[in-house]
Amino acid sequence: MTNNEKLLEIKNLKQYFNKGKSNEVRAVDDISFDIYKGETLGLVGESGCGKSTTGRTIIRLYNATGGQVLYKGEDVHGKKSRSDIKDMTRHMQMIFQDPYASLNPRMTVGDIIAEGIDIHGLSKGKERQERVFDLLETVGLNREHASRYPHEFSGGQRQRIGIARALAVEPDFIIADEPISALDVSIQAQVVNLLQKLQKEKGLTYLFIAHDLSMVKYISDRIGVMYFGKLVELASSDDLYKNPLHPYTKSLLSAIPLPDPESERTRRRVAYNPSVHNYQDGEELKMREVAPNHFVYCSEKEFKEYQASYVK
Amino acid sequence: MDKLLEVKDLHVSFKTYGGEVKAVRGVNFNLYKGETLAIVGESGSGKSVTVKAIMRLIPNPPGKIVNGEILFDGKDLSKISELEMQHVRGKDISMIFQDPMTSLNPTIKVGKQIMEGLIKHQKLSKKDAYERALELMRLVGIAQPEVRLQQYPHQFSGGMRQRVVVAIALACNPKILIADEPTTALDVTIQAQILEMMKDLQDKIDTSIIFITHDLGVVANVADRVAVMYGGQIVEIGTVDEIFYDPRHPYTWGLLASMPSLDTDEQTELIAIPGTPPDLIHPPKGCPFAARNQFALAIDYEEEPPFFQISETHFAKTWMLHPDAPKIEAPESVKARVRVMPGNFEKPIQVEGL
Amino acid sequence: MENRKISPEMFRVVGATASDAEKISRPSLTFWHDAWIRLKKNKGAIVGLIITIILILLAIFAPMLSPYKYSDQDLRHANLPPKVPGLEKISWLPFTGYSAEKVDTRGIKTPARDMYVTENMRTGEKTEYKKYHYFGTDDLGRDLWTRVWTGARVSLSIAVIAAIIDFLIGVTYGGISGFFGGKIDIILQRIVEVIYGIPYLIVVILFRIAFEKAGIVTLALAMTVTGWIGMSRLVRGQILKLKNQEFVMAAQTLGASNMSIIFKHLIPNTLGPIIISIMFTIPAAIFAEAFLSFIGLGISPPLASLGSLVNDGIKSLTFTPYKLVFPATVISVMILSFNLIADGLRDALDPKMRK
Repeated sequence: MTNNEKLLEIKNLKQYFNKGKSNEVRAVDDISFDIYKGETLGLVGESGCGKSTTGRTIIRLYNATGGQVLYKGEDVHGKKSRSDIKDMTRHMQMIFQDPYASLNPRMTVGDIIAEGIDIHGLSKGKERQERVFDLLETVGLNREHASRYPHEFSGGQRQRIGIARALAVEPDFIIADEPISALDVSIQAQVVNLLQKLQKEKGLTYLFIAHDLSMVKYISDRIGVMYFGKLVELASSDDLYKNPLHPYTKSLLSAIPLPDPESERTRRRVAYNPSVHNYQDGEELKMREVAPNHFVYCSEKEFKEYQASYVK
Repeated sequence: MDKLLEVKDLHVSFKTYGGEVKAVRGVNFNLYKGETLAIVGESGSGKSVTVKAIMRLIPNPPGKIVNGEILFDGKDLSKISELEMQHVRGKDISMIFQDPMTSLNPTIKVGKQIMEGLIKHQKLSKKDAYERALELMRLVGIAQPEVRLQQYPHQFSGGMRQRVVVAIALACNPKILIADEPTTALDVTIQAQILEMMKDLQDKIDTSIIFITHDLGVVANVADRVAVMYGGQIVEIGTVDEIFYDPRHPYTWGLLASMPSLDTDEQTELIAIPGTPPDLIHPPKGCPFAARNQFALAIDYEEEPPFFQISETHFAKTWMLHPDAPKIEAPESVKARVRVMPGNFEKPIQVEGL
Repeated sequence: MENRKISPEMFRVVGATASDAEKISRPSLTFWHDAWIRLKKNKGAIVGLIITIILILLAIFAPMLSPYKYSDQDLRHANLPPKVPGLEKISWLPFTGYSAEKVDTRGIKTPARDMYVTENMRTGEKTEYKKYHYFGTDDLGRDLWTRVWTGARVSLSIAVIAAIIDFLIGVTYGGISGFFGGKIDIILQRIVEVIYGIPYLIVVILFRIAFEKAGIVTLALAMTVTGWIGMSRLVRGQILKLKNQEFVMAAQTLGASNMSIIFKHLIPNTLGPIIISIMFTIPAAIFAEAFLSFIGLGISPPLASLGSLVNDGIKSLTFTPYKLVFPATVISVMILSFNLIADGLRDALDPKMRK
């Protein structure tokens, strides 16, 4: 964490689908966290826990059911004119999961990358062309690739194109929604290295959404763990691995298989059963700071227990 | 150890618009009784095609077993008739697939789907089949089997469905169970449960398993032996300890170095393997990995490397083990995991085939 | 390998040659180029395409180049059998100008004779009619060659106009319904269901009554009153599928307007199925027009369509079968070849076929 300047504040964000109907889904249920400038915040959880929805709601792909997203103190949601929204999109960008679905198959790579440039009228003609070439080279591709179509590229290369498209509008915050989970192991490192290189060069801030915990641990400064729409634990990545407090985090950590046969032989899997909490009516559940910058979603009683069990 | 299955010089090709894709190019391996052999590789490495060839599930056209033998129980599975193969499938060798959502018929009750094979292959009576189905459900760890057998697949969660799929596959006590990325579609916690269940099963019923995956963590968890595939060939094969603690092939190094372990800190850059896997319409001459290998030798671009034997069980297909090759140090993160393997020969021996 | 000397200097480290920015050696192919290559491999589609082009050329130029007009009557030369220069000498072909040998119910034979030669009953003088009617003439002495190709022109025009109107209404309606979704979608879909419930024949009959004289445009309109619904449903389905694709979301996060998302991202990606659908609409419309004309709801004389020609021909099937055979053949070949093309296009444009 380079500094403590808050770039993004997420306050009581809620995203309910089919609100008020019998099949209401609380995909994101009242979560709050901050993202500091220049950091990488990892967001992990199992499929359906709402981590992708959180990312999409932050960037306004969905209209939030409730809560606020403040970018540099300014509300992203709420009533906005088209030009305000357009402005906001220049600061925040997104990298998608599926390298095959995230590029329009009928457009050339050059036009895909330049889409943001065209929409915001950043440059035209020769200058635009040069910018596209620059971006291609930034992500490690050739200028010759500009006239090609997406289907001619491999998964890793397509993911780079998606990154170049996001970079075209010079954002300072990027939401990476499972950017490597569809890629082969040998290609994942290429993309992760590229993301880190870009972060160093351009001072980018990332929200890195993933289910692969070892990669998240490696890339993130802080990690948030989500379970059924709730953020259950938020801590710096080392602290989270050393001191997982919430039983769900413990269970998640115990489940990741490591490429080490010996530790695998001795692994003890911890199952998570939500009934262990045994919450009583009237108990207030919220994020509590158990140790400096280590937040856990818990009751007052649990808070005391966690504090006791926290290893410095 | 008893050899249960022997694959010899298997070649599989697919005809496409672009040309003939040589998906599997000379694969040799044995499967022993009671072991779990993991086949690791990236998409397009030929791992899935290899096992589909064993099951004779290669759609023809466009696919074809061009060459090779698959010896099982005194028969060559690549040559026998489709009718004979139907007796082998499900009964002697069964297979489970990646997606538990699509491998079950949504309109038939789970119980009936399990009993189907029992009645067909084992010629059990309906009552006996029901008893056996209950037993299988318990075996794969599904609670309340009497209730669950009467339910439809959509009433099961993803992990539970995969358990049902395993139960169906095990119904006829197959000698071999082939699992093609059975946990890839599942969440980590569910994956851990399924892996635990499969290991548990093996202790109980002594089936040999071929486990296909791209996840080295899963490999370390389940495998007794590991075969690493690249570009349609096995490039290294050995016991799980040999592969993880004494890898010899540069591709295995690359795989191990490209993923962070939990104590890799953010400052150390991951070692990415540059480029993309080879185009198997025109496979490169020499070593298929040469173009992406930072340690490639001149000969790698000219001659296909032979296998070198490092121990009784450990083989690697790389020129780096040739006596004339210079001493090459593995990347730091790989060196950190290397241990001395007691069974290693004094020097690697060049061998013909496996 | 033994006979090949492996020299020690081959064991020097040269390293990797691949980089992440690998060059692509294959020639750049757009989607359409790719589809064309696949279409070319489909023999049926190519045969269909060639025949369709020939039929269209004939429909355009045959009436223009013919010495007769489709409405020119000449009662002296009514019911003449086909006669084609060059082919008239080949006696087993039906282009000799001779009538067929007939045996009536009483067993009296009428021998085949050259219908183009008229014999003066009194003088026995024979006068030969020097002109040629390739497909013969009808009972009013109108040249059938000209009428068949004029009819083909009419049928094709109706089909093409119907397809274009289907396309315009269907794509707009389906696009709006699918893209905006929610309440708009619900309202638009209920309207579609109501329109779909109106029987098509009733609409056509009402149109016929309202416009009295049925021309090309009225018939085409009558056909599209309900015809566009299929297209709108197709487009709506496609848009619903596409609008949640990640590349559309990417455009949204870049700040793209709805219009640019629809026209830059959604429509180009639905074009394949739309084209296939149009190609299947055309033969269906040709058939529908023929059917309407055949049951007398179609084009008004003297203008002809293929359907009305078949209707005329069937009245004297036993005496002058050529009046039926030619237009019927043209209809069949036309519908067949359009279907062949559409089928080929479906295979060529279907994304599932792509590697």
